Amino acid sequence: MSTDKSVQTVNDMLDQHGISRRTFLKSCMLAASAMALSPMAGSAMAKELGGRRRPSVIYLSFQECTGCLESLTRSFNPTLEHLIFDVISLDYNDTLMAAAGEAAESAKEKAMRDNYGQYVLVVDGAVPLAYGGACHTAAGKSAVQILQHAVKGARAVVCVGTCATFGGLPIAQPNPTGAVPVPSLIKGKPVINLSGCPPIPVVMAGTLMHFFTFDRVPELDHLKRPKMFYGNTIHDRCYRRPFYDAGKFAESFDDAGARNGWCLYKLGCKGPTTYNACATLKWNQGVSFPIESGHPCLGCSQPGFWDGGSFYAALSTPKWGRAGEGSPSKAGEVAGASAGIGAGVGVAAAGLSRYRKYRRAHKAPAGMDAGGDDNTKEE
Amino acid sequence: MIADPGPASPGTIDGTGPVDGEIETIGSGVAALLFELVAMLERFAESGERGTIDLRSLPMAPSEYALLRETLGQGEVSAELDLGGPSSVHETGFHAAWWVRHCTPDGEVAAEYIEVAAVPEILLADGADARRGAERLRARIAGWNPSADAEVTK
Repeated sequence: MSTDKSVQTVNDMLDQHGISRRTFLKSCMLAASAMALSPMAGSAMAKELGGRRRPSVIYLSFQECTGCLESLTRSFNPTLEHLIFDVISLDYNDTLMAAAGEAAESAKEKAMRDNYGQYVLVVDGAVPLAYGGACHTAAGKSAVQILQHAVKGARAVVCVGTCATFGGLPIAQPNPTGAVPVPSLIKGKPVINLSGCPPIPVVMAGTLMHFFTFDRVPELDHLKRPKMFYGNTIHDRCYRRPFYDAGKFAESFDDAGARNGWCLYKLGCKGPTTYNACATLKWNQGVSFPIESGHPCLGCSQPGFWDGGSFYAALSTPKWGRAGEGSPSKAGEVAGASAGIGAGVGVAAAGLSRYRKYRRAHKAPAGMDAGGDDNTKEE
Repeated sequence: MIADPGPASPGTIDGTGPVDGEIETIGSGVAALLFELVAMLERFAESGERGTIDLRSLPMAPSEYALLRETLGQGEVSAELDLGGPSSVHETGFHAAWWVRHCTPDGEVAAEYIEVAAVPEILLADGADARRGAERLRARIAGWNPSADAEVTK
């Protein structure tokens, strides 16, 4: 409990909502477990966050489909993803807030003034630059103007979803709006990328909890993603991995291999080159993830996944360039011919994935925490 | 070899275990885990240091998980909690080693760990709990007339 009655702490808020300290402790322990921290870290998290004033979060949406926000808000009560809305003070989100127009904009300006230098700016969606930014405007300002204004007083910027982190669908060829990823526009502020289409709710909530608890950016990979969630490929942690190692592959979506749960590599699974936590955290309250439901991983948390050729072409399929360039139909033609060599090349892909991980571990890229560099390129 | 089904993850999509029984092998993971638990119990006995082993983070085949549960067994104390989804705590057959399981509202296991402590932290009440309890009880009994209340309930 705070000594200053005018300051509402997280514990105060939880108490008002009838959420017990033990329930909050449980949620923090789940978050710690998801972040590969000891459950005892969850206890420290509950104590640290509980006594603090609720941190201010300003959430901006640009070129996006609202799927990221849906992912976070459509989770089931009362999970960590739900509790995050009690832990933080969400001072601006034009989709969720009741206010609109000038009232909403005034609320945002007030929150930014009152929490200058302290608020966390969450952004989803890419930023269009073509036509003077006219493809996305709100309150008479372009997306880039809104972003630049909000970034000034932010403690850190959290880019949510593949559109914000790497450009996603808006940046896919032919990119008619001149969209760019959010990190490419940010200089001198810590940036955390939470890619995925959409990101896993626990990843979003857990990263914010981690930041507010430990008051620092978690350890990031070369694409500025928290290693605790993006440290392994889907393939590394996939429960079907033993079938891959044993050379057992589904050849079509309804053959015996598919029914027996064999590896989906030949059906286009991008798990070997995709870094995300779907295989361990799963979706829909831990029910399953795409591969467990019988569908290959699309690689949605990686840069350029929309332009990576057919979702159903094996990774071993040679590419003729980005989709929309040269001979887009060729990728599909080559897919059938090369799927047979998938297993051998797949081993090479997995090896390359491990090699990249090893290389990154031994040579950290410069400017990892500084922000402002180009986050859209894979190493 | 099993990559990482985790204790709550099925070996195959229908949850019947690995196909053909040819992939699953029982490793030495359970033995290593038990030795770690012994060391944690000894540390707790000597210094009072608490400790946890997060079972969800360990690659464990369903058969290894079953072996671990069977080896640790059930002790004298157990508790069920309703914390936005069921949770359960039971002391294993080895004092101060507690098996803690947290589930989602749908009953899916969300976290599971072995905690070495006098009492698992999730069961403890703290000062703030007591203060809120006192406030609520004080409000409840303010102007309380037991006989009138009894009349109302008749």
